[in-house]
Parts: sequence; structure tokens; C-alpha cells
Amino acid sequence: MAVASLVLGIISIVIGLFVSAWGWAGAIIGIIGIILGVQGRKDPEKKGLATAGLVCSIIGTVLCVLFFLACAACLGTLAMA
Amino acid sequence: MGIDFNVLGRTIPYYGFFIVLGVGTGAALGLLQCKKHELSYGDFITLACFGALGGILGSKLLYLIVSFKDIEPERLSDPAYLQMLFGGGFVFYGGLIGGIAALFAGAHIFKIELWPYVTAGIPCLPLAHAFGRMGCFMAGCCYGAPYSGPLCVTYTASPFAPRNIGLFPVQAAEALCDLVITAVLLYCSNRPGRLRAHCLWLYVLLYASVRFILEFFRYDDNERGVWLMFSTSQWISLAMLLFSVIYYILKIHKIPKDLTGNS
Repeated sequence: MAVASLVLGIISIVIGLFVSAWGWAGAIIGIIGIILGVQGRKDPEKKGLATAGLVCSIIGTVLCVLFFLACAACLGTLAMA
Repeated sequence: MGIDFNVLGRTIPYYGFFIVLGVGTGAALGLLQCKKHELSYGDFITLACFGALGGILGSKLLYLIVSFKDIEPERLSDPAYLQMLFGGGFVFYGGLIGGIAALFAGAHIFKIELWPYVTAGIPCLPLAHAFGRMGCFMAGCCYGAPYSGPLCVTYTASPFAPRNIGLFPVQAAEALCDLVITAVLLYCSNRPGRLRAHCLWLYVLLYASVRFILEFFRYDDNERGVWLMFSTSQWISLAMLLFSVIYYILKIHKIPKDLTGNS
């Protein structure tokens, strides 16, 4: 769980920073990373790795939501036009 | 008033900013509530994330259902159109229903006692929603009907709302109602006894009532579904009101009085 959380967290950060238009996918990946990070922290041996995954996932989710939702609103309007 | 602002050369959309602010404030309130109710914050975050996942998928699904007639099947093979379809447009009620369903799923998967967390965490939802509505208010989406009385708002640069006419600030009104609902739920969830067990259904009851009334003051009907005399959200409000009343009558007495799960 800890490794998976870290991988998902890094992917969501990359999406949030460089592919904002796919932020909805990045947010979903980041949220799954947070769940895995929180659960991974229950294993004392991998607590450090899980904490790193949790932090990366939170940062990635915030970036995806922050930069994406304007696109969501704009694209929604364009889709209706 | 536009839909975004600049910080250090980077464009930040108001909606995203307020959503992040709302989720952050909701998480902070959740931490306080977990400490007060002596619950695990990790399990709270796990359930909240399940709720968020269900919320995203549910709100997207309801948006697609509501805007079904606008979808062009011949363009579904175009990646740009798919990105536009899945990237834009969310309906809050779909999120609420999907989120509640995902909460039950998350509690089942990780074997978490759900009710204590629902009772402690439910005030966080309208608090985060209030911030989201302020994001709508700043961006100009979900706008109100033409109105020229006190506190009317005029958008000059919004790509969503009609420009240069006074509108009723329905988004800000809903944000205010959400804050009042947060206060009521905080009062109820921190009182001993059976009142705590009613929090989820109290939220559904209060929000559905508020939403049903405020829908009459909205002016973006063309962008959302309308059936007979009510909007889609009003029909869902009525259904949720009915559901909450029936659930209250049939099931509420089965919820343990001691919500710590020790009973």
C-alpha cells in the first residue's frame, strides 16, 4: 500500500503540474493514493514510505483540483454551446 | 469579475481555489470533531476520501444523465470531445448520492464502524459546500434570476452569467444557508443522546428543503434539466425529503444510542 500510494501521489503531482486538463483523472488517482497512504501508515515497518505517499497524494490532489476546476467549468459551457 | 486570478504569474481559478479552501477547512473541522469524539483521524480521512471518490463519480454520472440530449454519439471516438465531456460539468446531488453510497462501501472494505464517523463528520460537508458555492458566486456559474433589489450582483466578465444585468446572489444565499446548517449539525453532533444519531438525516432534510426553495431563484434552467414545473434538483430534493422521512420512521430507532460502537 505504501509504495502504491507514493507512485499514485507522484503521478497525480505530474498531472496537476503539467497536464491540468486531465486534472479530474489526477484528482481521482490522488484520492486513491491518500486512502492507500493512510492505511499504509498502520504498518509500522512502512510508515515512513506511506507518509511520503500520503503527502505526495495530498499535494497532487490539491494541484489537480486547484488548476483543473476552471477548465471543468469552461469546458462544461463549451460542451453545451 | 472574471473566473480566475493570478498569483506569481500562474492563473488560479476561483472555483478550484474555493474548493481547496473548503476541503481544507472541512478537514480541519473533521480533525477537531475526531478529537472531541475520540475517533481515529486516519479512518476519518479514509472514509472522507471514499466519499469524495463516490462524489466525483456520482456528480459526473448525474451530469451526463441530465445533459444526455446534448451528447453527440458520433464524436465519442474523438479524444478531445471525450476529455471535454468527462472534464466539464458536475451535479452536486449526484455527488451527494454517490458519496453516501461510497461511504458505506469504504466502511465495509476497511471494516470501519461508520455511524460514529458520520455523526462527527457530517458538519464538514455543508461547510466545504459553502466554500464551493462561493466559488460559483465568484465565477458567475449557477447564477440567480434577474433582480434589482439590495445585494444584487452584476457580472461584467463572467463567461457563464448574463452580463451587465442585476442578478439575485443565489450562490451566496446557498453558501449562507450551508453555514447555518453546519452550525445546527455541529450543535446536534456534539450533544449526548439520540439527537446525535439523527445528524445525517437532519442534513438531508435541511439541505433538500433549502435547495428546493433556492432553485426557484436560479436562472440557469437552460443549462440544466427541467421536467414539468420543477428542475431536476427540485425533483431530487423532493425524493430525498421523502426518503429521509421514511427512513427516519422505519430505521432510526435501530441506531444504537451509544454511537461509540460499544453498545
